Amino acid sequence: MTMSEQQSKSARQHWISVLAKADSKALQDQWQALAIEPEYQFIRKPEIGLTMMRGRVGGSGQPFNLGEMTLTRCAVRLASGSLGVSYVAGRNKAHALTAALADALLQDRDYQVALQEQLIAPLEAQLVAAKAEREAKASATKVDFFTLVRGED
Amino acid sequence: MSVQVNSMNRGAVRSDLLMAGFDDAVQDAQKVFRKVLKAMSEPGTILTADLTDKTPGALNKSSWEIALTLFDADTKIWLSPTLAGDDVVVSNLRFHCQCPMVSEPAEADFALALADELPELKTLNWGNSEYPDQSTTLIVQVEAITNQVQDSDEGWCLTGPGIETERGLSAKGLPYSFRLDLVNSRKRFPLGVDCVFCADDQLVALPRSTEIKPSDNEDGIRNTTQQEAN
Amino acid sequence: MYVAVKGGEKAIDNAHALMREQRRGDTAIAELSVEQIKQQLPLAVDRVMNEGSVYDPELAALALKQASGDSVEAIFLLRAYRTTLPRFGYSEPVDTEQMQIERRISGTFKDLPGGQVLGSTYDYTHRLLDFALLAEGDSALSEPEQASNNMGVLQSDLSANNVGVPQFPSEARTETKTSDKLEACPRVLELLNQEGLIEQSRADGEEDITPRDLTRQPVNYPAERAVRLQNLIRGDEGFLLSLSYASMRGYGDSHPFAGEMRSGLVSVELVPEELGFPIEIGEVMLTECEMVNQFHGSKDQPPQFTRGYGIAMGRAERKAMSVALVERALRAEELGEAVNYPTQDQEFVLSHTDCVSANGFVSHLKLPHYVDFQSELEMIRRLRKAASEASAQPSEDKADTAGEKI
Repeated sequence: MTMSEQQSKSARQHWISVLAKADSKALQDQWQALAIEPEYQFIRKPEIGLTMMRGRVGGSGQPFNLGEMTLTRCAVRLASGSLGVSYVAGRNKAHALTAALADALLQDRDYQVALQEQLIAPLEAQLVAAKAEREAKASATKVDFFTLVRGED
Repeated sequence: MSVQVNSMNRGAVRSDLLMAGFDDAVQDAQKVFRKVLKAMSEPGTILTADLTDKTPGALNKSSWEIALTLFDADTKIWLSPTLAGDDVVVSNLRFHCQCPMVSEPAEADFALALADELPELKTLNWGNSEYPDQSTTLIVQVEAITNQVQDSDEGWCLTGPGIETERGLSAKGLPYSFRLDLVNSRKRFPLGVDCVFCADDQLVALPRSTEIKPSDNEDGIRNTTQQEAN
Repeated sequence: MYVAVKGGEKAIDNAHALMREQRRGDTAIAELSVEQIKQQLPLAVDRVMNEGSVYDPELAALALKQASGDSVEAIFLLRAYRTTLPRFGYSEPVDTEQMQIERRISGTFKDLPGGQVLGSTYDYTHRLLDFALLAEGDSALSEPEQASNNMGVLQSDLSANNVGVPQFPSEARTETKTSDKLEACPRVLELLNQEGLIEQSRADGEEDITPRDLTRQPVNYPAERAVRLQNLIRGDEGFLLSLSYASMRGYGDSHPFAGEMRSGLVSVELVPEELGFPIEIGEVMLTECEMVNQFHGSKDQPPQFTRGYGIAMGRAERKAMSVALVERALRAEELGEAVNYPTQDQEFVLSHTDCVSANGFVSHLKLPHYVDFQSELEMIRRLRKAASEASAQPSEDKADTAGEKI
């Protein structure tokens, strides 16, 4: 794998992750604001199913099957030929379609910069903010038990 | 990054080769499943599976639709050499079915083969006495299938569960040795291999419970009643 | 003799109508929405997800609503629904070390890297009914639980002035670190591992073994650890809780320490065939528990601690702990310990964890057994008749034969 393939793979992993985790309503709002209506063909219509979630015994040991989770997947091909796919936790078909379309367009250099700035960046900012809020709430419950010997950290 | 455990057949699927599967994955798969069920329960009955427009590579419509219906992440698939070497076939099967591919026919839940590339029957999994159902199901693409066997030297006369008296069947292009092995495999019932023959958009099933007799004098086994069957 | 019963359709329809009416309750009271259940009864939702073995809070909430709040019925509904969905393969194993910690405590170390994070918990509440919650819809008016721990560190003096921040007693906030950031939280048991005092969760260089999936293949005994764990995670919480209680009380050689408990969001990844690299599909709330047990060592191994591992969907601490306790008890045989109690017996435990199976088998007694019972009735009558005839007959060897007649 060449360096640039590696980079584009991780760039794609990044936007796929943001598109999957984004709040469904926020995704649709941002997407509609872009007013892009690409021509596309379904390779796989949005489809709801399950994936078996796996864990590791003791967190780092042998894998085991933890239980299933719902997810929705979709694949579209644009007129340009690029294939966009999505795998989104939950059962929201519209979310999966939009994520697949965005994934396809993001592979297109003509759209990439605009979509990164106007779709991925704002959605990611929301995810980051939500995470920071959760962390702050958890952090507020952090406790130092009374202790006789404890170095300052 | 976690270690991957689902790495049975890594290596990229070629996304440029992917084509649409069923238009309505749930309904269409149910329809084809019903056909396969009927074919299996009424051996020798020819049915039509014609729900897709295009098929990948050398797959014909009925075998492609059976694959879309029956193959999934829990079924191991063996492909005959031409199919296994064709990126279009492999990419689309992996994309639509997520099926792991195996290189040994004995490991396969389903073996999908062209008629002139059939694996020896004994190399497939015949199941075991506790779980005869764990055998390989063999799907074979043939030139043509017909119930008219009078003028065919490849004809069979079928009897057994799901056949009221008897039914004629001819699947064109099957090697002699395979036909012979299939007849002989009945001696090991309930172990054995269930077959589906696919020609274009037609399919017919030959489960292991069906007795097969050659309809001509081939192999010295004479069937006297086949002429009346047609 | 009774004959098989037919009909009753009308009665069944009416019974269902009555059930729906009772489920709805008084129509003068606003109907509960699925979203309300999801938001306001999240622990009930988590239990249904766990035992239904499908992570989808909305579906679990729907099932609870449909089942009038009966969790076993709701679990059954979710299990039934999952059978209608196609399986899109398996995720990569989740990495719980990267969990966004919401709660993380240890019963073995007071001071540990990352610290103890209480998160959202009922642990320090006084279990006094909070009548303020009866004040309809205005939870901000409710008095918060008196927060406290055994050292009396936390106090709360939420006055009428800070009505706007009901979640966070201001005192508690100032007592804790002011940073909004959490430090990294490495696994507690790894601290013991560094000294070699605890068994490793996997041997160095050990390859991954693809775990068998009990939803695809039935459990065979003895079952591998991965299969046992999968079974326990979808097992009935009450059953597992009682088993773990029993194992600690002496019916099992298990009285461990809670090495670590953590809850939080964990990212789930899978590798689609068409991509060939892992992608994130979303985040799930998980609770994980690792127990530390004593182990006296064997010929091959010096004494060291062993582990029991538990994990559960959602915020399900009791479940995760129970899984970890029973999981460890079931390791008795592989660790060369005596198997003396049901809690250590795989077949006893694993065959009876499933609430859907258990409920089904118990419930089947409600089905018509008219013919079966009739034959038993006949038999009892016959035996009693024979017995009374025998006792009516004066006989010298009556005492010896009485047993045989029955």
